[in-house]
Amino acid sequence: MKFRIHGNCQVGSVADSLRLLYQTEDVQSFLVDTSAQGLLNHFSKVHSTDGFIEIIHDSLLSVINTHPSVAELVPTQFLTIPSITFSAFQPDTQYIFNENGVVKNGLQGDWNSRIAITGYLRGLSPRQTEELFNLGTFQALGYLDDWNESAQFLIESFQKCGLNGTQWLRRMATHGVFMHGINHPSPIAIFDLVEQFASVHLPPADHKIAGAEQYLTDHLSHIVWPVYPEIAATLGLEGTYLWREGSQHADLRTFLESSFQHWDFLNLKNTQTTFIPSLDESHQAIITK
Amino acid sequence: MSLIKQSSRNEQKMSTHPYRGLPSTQFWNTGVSDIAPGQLDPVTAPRFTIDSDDTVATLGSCFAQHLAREIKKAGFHYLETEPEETDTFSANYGNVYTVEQANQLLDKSFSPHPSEIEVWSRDGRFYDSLRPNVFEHGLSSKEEVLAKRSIHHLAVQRVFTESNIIVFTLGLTEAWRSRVTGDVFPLAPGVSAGEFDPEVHEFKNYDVTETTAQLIEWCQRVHDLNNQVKILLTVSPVALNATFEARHVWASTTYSKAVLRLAAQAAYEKFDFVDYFPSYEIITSPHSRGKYFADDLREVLPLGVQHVMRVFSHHYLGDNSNGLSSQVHSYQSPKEDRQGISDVFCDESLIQQ
Repeated sequence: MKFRIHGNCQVGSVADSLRLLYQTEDVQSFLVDTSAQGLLNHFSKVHSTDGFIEIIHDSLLSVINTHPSVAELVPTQFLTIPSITFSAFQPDTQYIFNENGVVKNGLQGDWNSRIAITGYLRGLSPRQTEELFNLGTFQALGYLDDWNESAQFLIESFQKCGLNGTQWLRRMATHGVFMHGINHPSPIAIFDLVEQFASVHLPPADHKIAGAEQYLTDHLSHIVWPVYPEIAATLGLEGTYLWREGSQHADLRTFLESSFQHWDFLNLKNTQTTFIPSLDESHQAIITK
Repeated sequence: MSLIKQSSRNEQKMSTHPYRGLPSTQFWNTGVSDIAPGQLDPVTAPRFTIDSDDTVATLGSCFAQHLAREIKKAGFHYLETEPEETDTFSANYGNVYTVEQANQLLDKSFSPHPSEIEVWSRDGRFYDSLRPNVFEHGLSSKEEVLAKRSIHHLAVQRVFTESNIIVFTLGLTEAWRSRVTGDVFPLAPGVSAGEFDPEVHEFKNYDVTETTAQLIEWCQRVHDLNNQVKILLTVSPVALNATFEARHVWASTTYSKAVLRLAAQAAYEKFDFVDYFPSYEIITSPHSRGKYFADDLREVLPLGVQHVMRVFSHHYLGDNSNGLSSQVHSYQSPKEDRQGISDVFCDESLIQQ
């Protein structure tokens, strides 16, 4: 059995899971720039090869389906696997873009804090912003009620790939915090997905893997976004305010101070920026109440 | 022709089966399996709420101490009749594990004639056998024990006449009692003080008939003392530390909790001033996946208590919760979490010391 996986940062763990399930080395994974140009470049270099089962992350489909030039290059037969996004543990995650691409946080990671960036743009100091990290703010922002919405989104994305997200989510709930960040699942979360994917779409694997965690490498734990204690408690978990980016760790104050400093350096207040998700007025009003 | 009619009737029956249209909480998948972690809420129709002008009192097993602390923290009027001696319960009765103990509390406190009790001793200090651990180092004489008891009776009288909400956490069915006086002890003689004498002391495990009758009697008596009272019954999720029955401690735990749960249900069904709050269910539910228990798999972690209080606040404290909303109200660091366990005093824990 030979596989090629094209997709986002989760491809490494998908590949590992397939290697483990099918006990094969013939697995290639490709981390792809998901812009149209990025996909053009990728698929023009990586030609379909006989005998490989091609698997593509669902996150690539919107570009493939809207760019015929890309679609032409994509392997004629491929399977789609969902890319896992689940924000209930880290609902404060905010992407910021400017003309140069992703605006980093103070630890040079891609995820930012929605509360932090709002505080910054409203002229609050890091200390003043730190005070906003409390139950009242999280409640007002709906951070404590994110599970059901996240679950619904995930179940639908599984469904589009012919998979059962409810079953997956029930299994994951036994693992506590199964996301390092909103789109960085733990290895077992990806293995469980791949196992289900294989059982639905692929020939049966010869081996039943017990204790899969022991055999999987965590490709995504170099970045950890904390589950804030107040949010964790509502999910029956213990939380923390400790960020990780590679070998760096930061508590809330350090994270805010370094982020504000970095944004000052980028002159972010005077720069055209795009926010995903959008920072709507109501959120800003609540944060700066 | 008749077959067709029959089939049509069957179809009709199938489309209107008795479970169709029931609330989602009545189904396992929607009530448990697919509920977010930490969000299980088994309360469906509370009979009353607690308002800011209510006076709340608590008694019961170790777990009741958590509830008392949280009710106070939420800013409600929590009745403390012996504040110089205890902030754990509304009076310094210590842990009231069995329903029979609760009845005994009323007997002793409201009787015009003081009854004989065993006074236990250890290392030259003296202990009230009905509450042997409320004074850490005991008292100096038997007379002092009895004098303190007289004062305590007045405090207990205040609990049952001044409070209008009483939360009773049912803990155990196993007890030790005196063959002579019939008194029920919270702890076996000899464990923390006194001496065990098989001629004088006997083991008793109250069965469901006895426990139910005792609880109904207790509720009625409390209501007779104050007809405005509302009683909230709950079953402690803390397992037995030890059983004297010749069987596994876990089997004894499930027996004991089942008996208490049935008794609580019977009281709920008999009296409209009694409600049942599912603390036991929240902590021990498969939904919590055992995460609410400490490493000994017995003590309840603050995270679990927070979940219980979240549900309690949501349904019983309403808008007068002084900031204790349907969600957790404070962050506790792991260190404080561990502290939360050690802050609760359990007589039972002495058995293994």
